[in-house]
Amino acid sequence: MTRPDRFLALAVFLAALTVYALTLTPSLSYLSPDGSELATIPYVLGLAHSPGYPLYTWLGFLFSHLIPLGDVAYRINLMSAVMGALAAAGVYWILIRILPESIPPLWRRTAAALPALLLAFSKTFWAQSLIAEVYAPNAAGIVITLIALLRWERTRRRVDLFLFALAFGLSLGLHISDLGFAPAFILFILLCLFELVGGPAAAADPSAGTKPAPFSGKLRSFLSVAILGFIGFALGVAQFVWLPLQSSTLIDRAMLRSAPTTLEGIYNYTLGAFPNFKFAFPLTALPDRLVIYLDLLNQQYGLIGIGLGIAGLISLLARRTRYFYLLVGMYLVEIWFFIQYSAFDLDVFFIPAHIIWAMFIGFGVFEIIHALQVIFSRMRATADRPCKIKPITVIAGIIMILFAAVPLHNNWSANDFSQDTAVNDFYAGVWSVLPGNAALVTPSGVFGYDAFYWQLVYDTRADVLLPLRPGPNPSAQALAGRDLFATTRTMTGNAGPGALPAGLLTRNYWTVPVLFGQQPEESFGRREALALYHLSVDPPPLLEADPKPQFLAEADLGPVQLLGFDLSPQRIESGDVLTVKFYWRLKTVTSVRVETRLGNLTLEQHEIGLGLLGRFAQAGPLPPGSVISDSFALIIPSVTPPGAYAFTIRPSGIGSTPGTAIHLGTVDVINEIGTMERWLQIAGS
Amino acid sequence: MAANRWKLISLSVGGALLLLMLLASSFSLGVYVGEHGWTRDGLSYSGPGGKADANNRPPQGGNAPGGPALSGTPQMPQPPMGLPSGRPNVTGRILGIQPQSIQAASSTGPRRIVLTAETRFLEQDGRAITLKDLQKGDVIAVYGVFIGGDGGELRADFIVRLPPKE
Repeated sequence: MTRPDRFLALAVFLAALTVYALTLTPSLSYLSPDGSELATIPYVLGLAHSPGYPLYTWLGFLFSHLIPLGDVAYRINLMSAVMGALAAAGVYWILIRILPESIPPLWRRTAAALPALLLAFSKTFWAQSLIAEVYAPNAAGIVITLIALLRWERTRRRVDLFLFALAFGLSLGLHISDLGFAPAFILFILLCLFELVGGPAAAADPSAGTKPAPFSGKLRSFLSVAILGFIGFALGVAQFVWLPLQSSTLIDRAMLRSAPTTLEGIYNYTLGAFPNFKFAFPLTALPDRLVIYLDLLNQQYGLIGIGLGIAGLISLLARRTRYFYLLVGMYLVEIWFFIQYSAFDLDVFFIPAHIIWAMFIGFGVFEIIHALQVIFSRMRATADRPCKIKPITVIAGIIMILFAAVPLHNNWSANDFSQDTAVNDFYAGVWSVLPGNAALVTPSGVFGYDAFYWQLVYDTRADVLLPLRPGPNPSAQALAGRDLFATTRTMTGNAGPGALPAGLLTRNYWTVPVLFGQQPEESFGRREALALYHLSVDPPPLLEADPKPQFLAEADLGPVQLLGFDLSPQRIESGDVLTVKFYWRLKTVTSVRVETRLGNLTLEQHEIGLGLLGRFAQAGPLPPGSVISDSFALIIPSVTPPGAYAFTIRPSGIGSTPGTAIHLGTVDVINEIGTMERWLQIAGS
Repeated sequence: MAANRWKLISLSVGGALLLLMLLASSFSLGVYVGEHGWTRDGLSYSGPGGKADANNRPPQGGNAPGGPALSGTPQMPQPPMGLPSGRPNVTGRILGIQPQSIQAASSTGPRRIVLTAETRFLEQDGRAITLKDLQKGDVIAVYGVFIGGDGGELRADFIVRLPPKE
């Protein structure tokens, strides 16, 4: 690789990293189902869910301890960004290595840079480079493995073969499905060793033109390669010793069932994990499954990208047959396996296939350039006077690379997660409002890490008991004498992996929402409502015998009247908690839903009586004219810009325009501390 | 000579492989478009009755605070009588209907709506309907409780059929 190529690979890396840094998720998020766990485990050097991800854990440990930026979750998100950018630069590197040299260097660089940037800014790859997940690091692992393999192909040095095998073995610690690439790698090595199908190495090889080695010599080479490759691969795979060593740290019920403490357990935890998701569809369903992949491919590169990729496949076969077998072999295994995989977030599993498709696009772009070159050559030959081709070429090359701005523009709004502070804001609020020595009941196992993160990483509020943190089956005695609280998600987890043990919360608690987090927004994953509930045996004090609201409202909402409300100080730091209490006069016991808003932002929606009115009416008389109160706290999202906002309440209903907003006052939002600093202050570090 | 033979073989095998890839894609696309038209209606990542979403994903769903409206009680003036008020937990297009569940495509991904004996079916004007009145392609708003710990599965209290978009 020449100096300009190194510079351009660095430019691709920096361009991708800059975009990722601008859109990076600031801390924890629900964009990935396992994200909170994958942000925590590396810091504490624990054991992640199946298949364990040892290399991911170790890389995350380095990032979370060595990068002096943000909080721990931000550093792990940043690791994904760096790895994603590295993978994009690696695609440039690989294409420069394998593209035919029959076009000028400038055009080859264009044909390599464009697909690298298209990949970097493609929808799924970009999104996965912004969160704590394994897919961007795995993309880097695949690309590094390929670079190592191509290096060996060129040098044929044993040490390079060893390094390739080591890289391949290590990449399994980023995603174990990479093992499916083994047949393609072996086929490629055989094609190289026996020189059955040509590649560029033959031309570059100084020994080319000499008498070919006898078959017995090739066989000896193959044996030595096989032994050396096995040793390198085994060394890489040895990382999975981490599993039995750290199995005592597992807290997830499903993971504990296949704890990697024996050889059988290690198999079940790794290659044998999630058996019901693999090959989950009958043969007749495969056409539909393939269309799902095609739709996902279309979402990444569009129809033009698909067309270029198909052209690139033909080009690859005709011009670089050996690489055709390597890349198509990898690609087909990936597609065959994952179109039959049953997963809610199927899109992320095709990222390796998208990387390979980017390389096909590179060859497609090469063919277009090659065709244009032929046309221009003929034009020049017939022209009366020589035309100035160099400046035109440079401009055309730059314009072609600028095509990468199309996905950058189209995917920006969907992939800009820089404002997704809801989870951290919510938990910062939770730690602020929880009374001393309370118990916070969360989902168990992998899905409880949004709460566990704070205590495992920062030892936040050590007085608060998280009963599910040590394991999935705490005893009910552990909760004795503590004020009980729970997150909203706990209350819905009646089954499934995050569920509570049957005997933990057996009483018929009153579940009273006391804190509302930011309302769900579709652009930020599949998050629903964030709420903290107080669990009480006794009915909450809904009924107001002598209502004395701080502010009078006397607004009629049909079946109820808003008498007035109490409001905490109206000058508030963004990200902080606003407490409010509404006083309602009931004309009848009914279901009325209202929403409170700050400016145009919905802060929460709830039913008058906090959803407990029906049960409350059954427990005791609630005659017309009774006054009840709803008292709770609200998170002011930390991304709210400073300013004065109208604080309003209005009825909300389906199939109709929401009712007229009732103005309650003006809230001054300030931002004097800074979001990350505030989170770290509350975390206690 | 031998090298040329290998080249020919490798090109032929590779060409056949390419042809097979293109044929498989075209055939699949043809079958799909024949069944669903040029829509995404048939694209369910975990598939009809797929198990992955129920067991492998985290609990990202939650009750809308306060839950669905109390049944059999007077309503606000805004929604028609009989309808639950507030924002539905899921809005989506029906992909498939089984006796115990409905598969729906929502803007946040596929959802499995679990039906119980208590599930009520309503038109947007508040008239009661039954499961048999629902059809594939109908747009529904679902009020209920997220179960299964992943946000992909919802036990329905109310299912409201929304009018098709003009």
